[in-house]
Amino acid sequence: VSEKTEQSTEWADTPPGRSARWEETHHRIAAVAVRLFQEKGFDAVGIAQIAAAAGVSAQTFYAHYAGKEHVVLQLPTPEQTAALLAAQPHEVPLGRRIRGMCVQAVNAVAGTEYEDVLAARWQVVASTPVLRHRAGEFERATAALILQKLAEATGRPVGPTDEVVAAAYLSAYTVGLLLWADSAGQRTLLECVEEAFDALDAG
Amino acid sequence: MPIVGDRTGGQNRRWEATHQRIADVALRLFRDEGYARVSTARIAEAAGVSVPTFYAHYPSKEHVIMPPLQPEQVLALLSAQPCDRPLGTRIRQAAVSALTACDADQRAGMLARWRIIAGSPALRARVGEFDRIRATVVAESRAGDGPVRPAELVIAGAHLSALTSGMLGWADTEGRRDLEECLAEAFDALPSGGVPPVAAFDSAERIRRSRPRASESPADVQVLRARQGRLDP
Repeated sequence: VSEKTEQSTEWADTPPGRSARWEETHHRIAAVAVRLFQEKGFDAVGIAQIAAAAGVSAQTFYAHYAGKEHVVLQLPTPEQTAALLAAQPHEVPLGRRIRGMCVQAVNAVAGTEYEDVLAARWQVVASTPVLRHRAGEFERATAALILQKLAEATGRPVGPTDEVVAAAYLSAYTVGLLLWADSAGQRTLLECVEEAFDALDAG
Repeated sequence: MPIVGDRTGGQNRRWEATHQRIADVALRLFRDEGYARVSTARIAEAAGVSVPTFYAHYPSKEHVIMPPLQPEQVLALLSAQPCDRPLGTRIRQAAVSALTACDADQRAGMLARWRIIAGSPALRARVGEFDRIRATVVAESRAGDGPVRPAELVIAGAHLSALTSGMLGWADTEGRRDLEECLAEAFDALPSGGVPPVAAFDSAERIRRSRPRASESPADVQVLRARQGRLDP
């Protein structure tokens, strides 16, 4: 698939329509930040230090990322969420669709350069207790985004059980990503994510 | 009252009184002025404490509204459940029995708190962080000295997040629906297990059937079955 290498982050990285220069700066800040987090530990690195190492002002850093944690825990864009959702069969239960979206996203990065970027980021998350927990907030935000796109696509409001299902599958996905990071390259991302989803489906 | 999550422990009475007063004042301000508009400085002032005192009691504004269930509270609740049940069932029963034990005042307090959370998109997402902390505590306690089992982390995470969704659903109805019913609906929405792929599929299908939708027909269900292999190779 030609889109493969452009598929970034868990699902996404930069909003569409940004200039090449904006994108370059965006990725440079993240690369520099992740390297610093790996070297010194997430808690020991400040925004000023990241900005200086990336050759930007702190103000520019904040124009790209709302905070340090947003560099490593990124949300998919609404556009990519909608595209992944649309690619799933419409008739299946929501949990199946979300599982399918996650697997599709994982397959899109497997074997690409981006897989290493993702691995580095999740290793930072996995080795930082506060980020392991904070991931819960980002997965909830992702669940809300999926439900919003689902409502837009179907014209039906989402119900409380949809929220439960979306939160449960997204939280299993995070467990899969953490498992992968904890395995330090010994296991494939797909294998880890499938293990987490199987555990959820088994009840 | 563990689900309300107020801090317990050995602090002295005065510390407890201050702790509670900050929470009461903050909840009133959040309700009257909107969560996003109330700063920690404003809470501190209204509670008659300094900002550093506020932070000595709560790490952030979020922690006032969502005090994390203390690990010992989680473990006490779980240990009261029969050991032979699956982890998810034990979490569900522990949560339901703790909430059922609440009196009317406690319920009113919970509703006020959860309505503030439900009314703020940022807090609705932020609860996920608190759920994950609890799930980790549960999975770690079951692991003892050994490694945490990922499956337990998944199950604990799913059930604790279903509990949160049930509370949010209750708050969304402004307490008009029965709390127990909201919780049952939330927990029932989770995959219920058995032989993994088929059982999960059937469980989700049952949920869909219980909430009829215009597009659903027997033909849809057949398509579902036909596609199942493709979805879960």
